[in-house]
Amino acid sequence: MWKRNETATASAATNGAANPSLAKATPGDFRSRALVNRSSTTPAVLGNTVTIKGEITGSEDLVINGHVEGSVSLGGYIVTIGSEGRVIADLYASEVEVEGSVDGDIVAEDKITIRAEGIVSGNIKAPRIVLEEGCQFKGSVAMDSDSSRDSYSSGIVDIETEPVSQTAASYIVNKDD
Amino acid sequence: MFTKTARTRVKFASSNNHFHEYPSNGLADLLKRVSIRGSQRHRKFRVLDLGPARQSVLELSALKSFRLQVADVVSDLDIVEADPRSIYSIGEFSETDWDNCLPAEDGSPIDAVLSWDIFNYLGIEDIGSLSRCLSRRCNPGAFLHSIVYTGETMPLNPLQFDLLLPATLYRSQKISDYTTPSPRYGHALTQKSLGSFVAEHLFQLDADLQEEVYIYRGSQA
Repeated sequence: MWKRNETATASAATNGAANPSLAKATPGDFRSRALVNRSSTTPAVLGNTVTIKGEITGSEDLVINGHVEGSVSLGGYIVTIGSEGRVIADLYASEVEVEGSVDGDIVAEDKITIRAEGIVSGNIKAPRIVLEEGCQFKGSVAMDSDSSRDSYSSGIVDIETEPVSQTAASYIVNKDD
Repeated sequence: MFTKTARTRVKFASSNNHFHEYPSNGLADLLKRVSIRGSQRHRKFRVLDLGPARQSVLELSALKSFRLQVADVVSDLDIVEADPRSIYSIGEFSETDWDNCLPAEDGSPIDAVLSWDIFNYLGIEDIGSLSRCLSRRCNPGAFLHSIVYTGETMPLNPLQFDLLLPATLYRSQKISDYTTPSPRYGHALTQKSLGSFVAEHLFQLDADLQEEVYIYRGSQA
């Protein structure tokens, strides 16, 4: 499941069969309420005792409650950084939701949400971005409908599209009417 | 254009006893001039918000095709974590500290800086070092939009101001029972510390709150 580089130090923690913290989660394990509604499949979960250094790729949704250093690339899928998750990595996914902390750039094909308790230091780019009141964010913001992997590490880009966004009060804001 | 957003926020805020809105002549003027400038240039207008991340500023940036950078200097410098009974900053932040605190430069100069309820909680030397740091990052002609207290007292903790409409500010937090004498600094002292950022307009938002629009005159000012 994981594409690891030579320096990966996840040891037994990367083996889902050997370590229950990486095994498929039951719906009750999800920290993200929204994730349950959005995804028809059960996401993989990195437990809060797991540390991975290296590159994470895959073809399923992922919830990170542990510590990741390196890069995370899950195009087409949802990555959730749980409240105990700590990520020092660039992230690429369809959707990224941050309740924990991320130190790195985030590019999403669809949406980035930084929850009220989330902490992000880095540039973020997605067609839709939600910054909940109380979140801590430092960096540049780009809202672009073309959030492709080509711009994964390109830093900030011009704002090209208009957002449909959501506030902390969970109401939908549609600015074009 | 922002009608539904504004309507929704007003509805949300109407249940909040601490909600207060401030029509902002300074922002209206700034946005008008930005639009004129924007039609005369090729690159995107760059905005640096020294305050915390705000969804409304993000939306405005998207609508106006700005590039937005968020610094959140207050939380980054742990100013809010200081003793709530004392004023926070005592002039300890150098230009290097500010450089480390602000988002990394990407080679393009900043055209506008938002400093809402920031200067009130910085030492006067810190305002000077921040100004020098911003001077290196800003385009000549860049705007600095600031909100400062002018009444007899001000809250000990920074409040979060937000956008209701492109040219209307609001706050929805309760003002702390702990206050400190205000204004923290006279305008002349603030202006002296801001150096090349020269005050152009001062607008009263209400009896105790003022917005100030500065223009960066370049390093020769």
